[in-house]
Amino acid sequence: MAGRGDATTVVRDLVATLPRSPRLADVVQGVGRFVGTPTRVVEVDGPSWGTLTALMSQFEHENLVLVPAGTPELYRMHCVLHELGHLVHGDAGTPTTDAIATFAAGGHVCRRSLDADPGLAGPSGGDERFAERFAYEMATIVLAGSAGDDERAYG
Amino acid sequence: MAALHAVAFWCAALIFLARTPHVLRNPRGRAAWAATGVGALGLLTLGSVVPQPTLDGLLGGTNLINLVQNVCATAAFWCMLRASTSDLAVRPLLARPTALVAMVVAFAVPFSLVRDRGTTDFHFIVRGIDQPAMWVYASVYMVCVAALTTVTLVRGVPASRGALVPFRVGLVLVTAASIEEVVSLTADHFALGSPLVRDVLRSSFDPPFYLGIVLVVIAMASLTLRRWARDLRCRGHHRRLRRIARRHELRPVRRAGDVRVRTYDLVIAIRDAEVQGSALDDTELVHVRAAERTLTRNLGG
Repeated sequence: MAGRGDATTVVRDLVATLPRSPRLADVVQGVGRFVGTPTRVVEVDGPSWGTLTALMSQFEHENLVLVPAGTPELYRMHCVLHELGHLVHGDAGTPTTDAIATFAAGGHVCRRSLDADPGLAGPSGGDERFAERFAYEMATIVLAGSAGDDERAYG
Repeated sequence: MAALHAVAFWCAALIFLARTPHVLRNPRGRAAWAATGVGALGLLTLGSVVPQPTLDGLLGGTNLINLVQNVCATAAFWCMLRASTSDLAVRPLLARPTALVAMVVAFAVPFSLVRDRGTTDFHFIVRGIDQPAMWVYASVYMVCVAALTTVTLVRGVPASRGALVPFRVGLVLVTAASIEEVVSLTADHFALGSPLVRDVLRSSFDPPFYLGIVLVVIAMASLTLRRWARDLRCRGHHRRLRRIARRHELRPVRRAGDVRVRTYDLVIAIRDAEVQGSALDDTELVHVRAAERTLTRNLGG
């Protein structure tokens, strides 16, 4: 684990590089800059994902965050933010050959899987706790931004 | 004009009172809240609600109320600038507290040099405009207001995407009126143009200036109402989602924060449970989707 401080500190540092009232797309781009590798989100149609809610696959030239197509928007955002949490935390993931999508085959993957620890905020692996905490804290920033600059300043 | 003054005062005073509970919990909104409070005080000195001689009488009855009015207006626009630029990494120079002090001193000193201020007079400035000190006093004040509103428009929140149009229109009106007033004061002081032209210039200040203030205050009120409505909706969602979470024996993340954040936490916990095999009935799904719709409004990609 290549830790870069706690989730709160990392979120604060990242937010400082983002536009005012960042949207999810801004966060994805910002994380790409933060880790030095372009990052994009790909929706994947296909077989059942089971208890897997998202997957992050790291390649040399780019990082892919894979989410099942049709996931409700808010939940999708949370799962993407979780995977971005892994990226900023420097989690290497594990080599895989049989990922849920062929996109991920051959890469190193981190997964947001709910098969073991509901909520991912419990006493399971530190990497997962960091990523989940990052997701919640960053979601708070994105939600606050959705109110609009004028409402936050004057409302 | 008394009616417009009164409308502007009541708008500012009511929004100031209405926002007080929120601001006590949320420091972020304090600059805008202070702007409405100080602005309301300034508008009160116009005499449309409490007669001006009564208020000026409390200060000695020598038109000191005019200076108080202008200090309040300058402080209100400065607070508005502070609120508008709170997100900037580097605030504009005018938003610094020393700038406010400098502006007030810049017009208070010439005010103190006005000879024979006489007794309370609503047209105090017009009556004494032949004095250089009066011209400098009133002109510097108006230049300060124009500078503050211009910087707010250019550097502040009104310049960002999605900012309310009435804010921009209101600030443009106040800026234009302030510049027009400097022209009018100069024409009066140097007796430029015909008396008719000077009369027209003089009477062209109040409508745009106070209409601009009313627009800005109404825009602020609409933002407060929008927040109230959303919080009310979120409280309803939160209550229903909490019941669902209890029914499914979920343990959502517990965080301090506003009701939107807590509703978000419940939505994620419920969706996680769904992935893990908990079956939501139709009614529960409707509630979860409704909460998601509220939270994702204006979320963007």
